[in-house]
Amino acid sequence: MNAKIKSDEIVLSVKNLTKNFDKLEVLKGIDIDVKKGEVVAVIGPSGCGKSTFLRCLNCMEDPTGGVIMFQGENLVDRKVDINVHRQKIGMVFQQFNLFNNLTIIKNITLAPNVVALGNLRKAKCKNFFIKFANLFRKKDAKKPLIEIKQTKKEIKKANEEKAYALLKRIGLEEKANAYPSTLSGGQKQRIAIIRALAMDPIVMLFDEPTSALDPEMVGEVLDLMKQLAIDGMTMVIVTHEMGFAREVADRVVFIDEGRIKEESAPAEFFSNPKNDRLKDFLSKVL
Amino acid sequence: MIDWAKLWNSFTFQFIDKGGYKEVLRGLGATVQIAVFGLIIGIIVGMFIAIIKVMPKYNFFAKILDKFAVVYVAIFRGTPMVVQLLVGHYFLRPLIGWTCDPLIEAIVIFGLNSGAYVSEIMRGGIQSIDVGQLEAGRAVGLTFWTAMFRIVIPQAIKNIIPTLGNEFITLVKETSVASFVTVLDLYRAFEQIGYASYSFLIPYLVLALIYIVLIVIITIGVKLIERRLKKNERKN
Amino acid sequence: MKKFLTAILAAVLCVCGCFGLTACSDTPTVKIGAQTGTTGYMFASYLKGTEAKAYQSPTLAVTDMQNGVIDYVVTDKAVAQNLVDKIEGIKMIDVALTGEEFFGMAVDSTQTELLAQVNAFFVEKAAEINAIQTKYLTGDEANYVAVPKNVEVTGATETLKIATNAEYAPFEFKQGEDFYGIDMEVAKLLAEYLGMNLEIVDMAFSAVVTSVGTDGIDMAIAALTITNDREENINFTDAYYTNSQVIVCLEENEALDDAGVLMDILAVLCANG
Repeated sequence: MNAKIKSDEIVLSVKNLTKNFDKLEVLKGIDIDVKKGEVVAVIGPSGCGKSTFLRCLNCMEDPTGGVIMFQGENLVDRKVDINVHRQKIGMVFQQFNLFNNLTIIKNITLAPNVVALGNLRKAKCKNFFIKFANLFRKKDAKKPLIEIKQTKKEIKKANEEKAYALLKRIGLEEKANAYPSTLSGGQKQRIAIIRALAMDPIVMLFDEPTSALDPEMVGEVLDLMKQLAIDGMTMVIVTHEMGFAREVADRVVFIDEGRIKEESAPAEFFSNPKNDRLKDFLSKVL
Repeated sequence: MIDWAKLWNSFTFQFIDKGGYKEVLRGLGATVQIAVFGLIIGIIVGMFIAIIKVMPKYNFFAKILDKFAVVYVAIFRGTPMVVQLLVGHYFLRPLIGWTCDPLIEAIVIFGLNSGAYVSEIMRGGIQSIDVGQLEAGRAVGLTFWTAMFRIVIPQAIKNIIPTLGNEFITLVKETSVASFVTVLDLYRAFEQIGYASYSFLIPYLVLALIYIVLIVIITIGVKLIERRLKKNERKN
Repeated sequence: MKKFLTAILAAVLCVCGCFGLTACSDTPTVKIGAQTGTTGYMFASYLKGTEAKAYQSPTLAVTDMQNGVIDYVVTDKAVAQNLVDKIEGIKMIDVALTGEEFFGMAVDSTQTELLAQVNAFFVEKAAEINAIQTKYLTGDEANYVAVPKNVEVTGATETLKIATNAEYAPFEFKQGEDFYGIDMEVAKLLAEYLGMNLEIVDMAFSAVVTSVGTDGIDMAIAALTITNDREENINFTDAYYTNSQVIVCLEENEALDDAGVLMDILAVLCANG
């Protein structure tokens, strides 16, 4: 996609990422910088480590070594609070993973509510201590209280309205009170995507989002992803859908045996592959 | 030869005329209280122990909690109920200066015991839930414990209701040893009637019958709960 | 491998079978039952050539005797008399097995004042106490007074908490919710004398003596025989009843019918020793 405005700001920077499962070295050193608004497609044969790579980006798998810079912090460092960063990294799974015990609307609003209400509680606590300490301070030395913009009810209402707006966008608002078990695969995946969107992520990771779908539903999911790309979302997509990659991605990456073997714009990638294994892979897949 | 008429008469005399039924009702109340509150405590304790055993052990504190959980389960599954009650009554009580009613003591010990068994049930339940549920919860920014309590545990509990029902039934039957620590439970009430009527034949038969009726009622109750939960899932 | 295992299993079963047979073909010893922790049980366990079996109460021992598990039961005389009156098919051999034994009430060793008061009570209320004893020993059921678990005495501020084992008619027994018996009615009298409320805690006999001094229990009133080893943990009041141990057996058992003194009984019981 070339129509959107691109920036050179790097949102996700990966240097020398390695991952071992006991003795098995799956990732042997990955370097990649993802720019804001960029759509990166990751392809490769099974077992090459592409899913592992994606899952390392938000530390669903703990990287063995390397650096992942996101929002100014190194996510590989154990001392960094990964939950805070995961709120801004959306993930869409191959198996959808909608919360089976909650209605659709609750699926979407759960995380925004938990996070916002948690912050509200922390702010109220801090204010309590500030008020207490202010009793002992002189008039001009008193610290200001943290501004509380919304009450609990308002937060919940705002999040619910946002969820309905998202559902409306994909035309599934009548399913708001249904349970995931009653929906089709395509519907579930589209809802999974907007569930991730509800947190206003900076970057979204897609782990083979259409691989578990029946063919007739793949299209509706890909359309939604295309729309997200047009709207300027930064995306890293592990996929087998070569047509989609060619059409939507800004950059295509080939991972084989735990390393990036080739990386270029889609036009060049698909029509003029340089790596032998890539040529071999493309000939089998296309 | 067993003179049934005479035995029945002396039983009813003690049971009805002398007010033995009042003690039986009291004993039944104690038995039910121990079983119900014991199960509630057991579920709460079991839930925490199960999560501790399942959670990723990233820091030192988590590792200590895990060892504690293992020891706890080993103690309560490795000793008979009677022994736990006796140790609680004769050792713990004077040690911590506990002066409550023996019924409370029984409820606590039965609760802790049940917690050990429920933790294994709960652990199985949690592990039977697709790991993707927890992953999706964590991927969207929830902490491990929040994701557990909001997403995994509710689904796990639905799956383990039949097994929890079995645990409840076991608990009801086990309460019959509460009399070792002077709690007046159902068994003790009938034992007293046996003493008063100088024959234990009929009292113990009636006791067995009452237990059977209790268990049947519980079994039906559990089936009803199961059915209602399944109905909710299919709601559109 | 399978054949080897089968052979081992068969050998083990044979050995077990042999053990079982030899156990059954032992010359049967005389089995005597008594309440655990009582002087009667101690008597039974010292007899040569007999096997002593412990029971939670004499009533259970008698039930087992009726079912053929044991041959004799040793218990206090008044208790034996009551059992013989209430249960068919058994009889008491009226020969004292032990010298005179005395019942006392156990008092928490820290409460010396209470001890003095109870002893004074025995003296002052001797007549009433005797009347109660006679009432129960003669089986005057119409005049039995029910003693509930908690007795309120007018104007009382404190509670006298006593432990007992209410499975021991005529001294203490329970019907419905209330307690009856010599010890129970005397306890009520004692509480009224002291101006205190009364609370009765019923427990297993083996727990009675050790419970004094714990959980607020002031005394144990449970037909306790005054013995030296019990006195190590509690203080006994003066004696309030004289007792001896006797034997109870089935009606059709004529082995002891001619016994007049202890020696005759020992001759019969210890014949196999």
